[in-house]
Amino acid sequence: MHELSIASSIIDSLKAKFQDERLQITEINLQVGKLTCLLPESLQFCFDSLRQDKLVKNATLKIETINGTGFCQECNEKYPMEALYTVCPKCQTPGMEIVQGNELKIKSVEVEDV
Amino acid sequence: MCDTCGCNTPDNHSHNEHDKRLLELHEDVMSSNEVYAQQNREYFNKQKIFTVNLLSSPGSGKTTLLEKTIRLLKNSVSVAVIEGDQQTELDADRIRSAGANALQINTGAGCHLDAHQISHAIKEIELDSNSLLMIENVGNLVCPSMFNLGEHFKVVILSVTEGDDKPLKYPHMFHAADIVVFNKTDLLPYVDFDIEKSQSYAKQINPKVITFELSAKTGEGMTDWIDWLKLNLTNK
Ligand SMILES: Nc1nc2c(ncn2[C@@H]2O[C@H](COP(=O)(O)OP(=O)(O)OP(=O)(O)O)[C@@H](O)[C@H]2O)c(=O)[nH]1
Ligand SMILES: [Mg+2]
Ligand SMILES: [Zn+2]
Repeated sequence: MHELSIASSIIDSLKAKFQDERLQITEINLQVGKLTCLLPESLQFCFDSLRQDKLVKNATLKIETINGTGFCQECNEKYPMEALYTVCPKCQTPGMEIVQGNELKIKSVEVEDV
Repeated sequence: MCDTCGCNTPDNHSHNEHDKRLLELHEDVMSSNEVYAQQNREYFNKQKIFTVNLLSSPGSGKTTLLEKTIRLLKNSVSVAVIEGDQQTELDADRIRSAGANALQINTGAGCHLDAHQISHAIKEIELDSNSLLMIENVGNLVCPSMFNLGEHFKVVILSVTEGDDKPLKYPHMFHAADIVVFNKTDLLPYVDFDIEKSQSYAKQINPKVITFELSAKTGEGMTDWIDWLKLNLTNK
C-alpha cells in the first residue's frame, strides 16, 4: 500500500521542517490530484496509524481533491480529465498533457506553540 | 500540566502563544524521492550506465526476462541487477546463476523500491562504467509507478495470462511506462488475450509508449528487445 509510505513521507518532511521548533501541528492541508493513484480514505487511515510523533499527534489531516485537467495539443485547448485514459472530448486525440490533477502537496499547516 | 490548554508547561503562563497560525508550505511530498532520483540519474550518466526499471504484477516474468537478457548480453557488456522483493534472496540467486552481478533489496512490508534505497544499493554493488543496470522492482502494478529511481526507462511487463484490459485497469503504471513488454506469447493459443487491443489501450493512456512482444521462456521475439537495449547502450 503506497499510501502508507506517502503518509510517512508527509510526517517525515514535517518533522524535518519543524523538529527544532516548539510547536505542534493542529491541521495539515494536503492537496491530492484526482489523477494520482492515491485514495484519500487510505491516506487518512495510514496517517492515523502513524501519528505517534508529538508534532502531529493532534493534527487533523484535511485532504483537498484537485480535479484533473488535460491539454490537447491538437486543439490547443484545455479540457476536464476524469482519468489518465481520457481522450480529448473534441478531437479524440489520446494522451492529453496533464496540466492539473497530479498534485501531492502539503499546501499549508496550522500550528500552535507549545 | 496546564489546565487551560493541556500543554506540558506550568499553568501560569500566557495563552496568547497558543494562538493558532497558518503556515503556507506548498511542498511537494514526492520531492524527497525526486532529489535522490536526480542524484542517481547524474551518477548513471557520468558513469555511462544505462539503467532500466522493470515493473509488473507478481509473476509476469521479470526475473525470467532478466535471466534470458543476461545470457544473451553478458559476452558483449557488463550487466548488473538490483532485485527488489519483499522477502527472500531467491531472485538474486537466479540472476547470479545466469552470470550477472546481483544485489537483493528486501523491502519487507514496502511494496515498491524508492530512490533512496537505490542510492545505497549503487554504492554497495560494484558497477562498471559503460554497463547495463537492470532494476527489478517489487511485483506490483500500482505503487512503484509513483517512485522514480533515476532510471533512464521504465519497462512495464504484462504477461498474456493477466488479461488484455490491464492497461485501462492500472492506468498509472502504463502512464509512467516508456516501454511495455508483452510476455509469455508462447501461451497465446491457450488464453483470450488480444495483443493489438491491449496495445491500443496502452497507447490511449500513453501514445509514445514503445511495445515489444516476446516469450522469455522460448526466446521468441527476444531479438527486438535485445537490439533496443544494445542501441541504447551504444548511445550512452
Ligand atoms: N510460459 C511462459 N512462462 C513464463 C514466461 N516467462 C516467465 N514464465 C514463468 O512465469 C513464472 C513467473 O516468472 P518470474 O520470472 O519469476 O516472474 P517475476 O515477474 O520475476 O515474479 P516476481 O518477482 O515474484 O514478481 C515462472 O514460473 C516462469 O517460468 C514465458 O515467456 N512463458
Ligand atoms: Mg522476480
Ligand atoms: Zn483535441
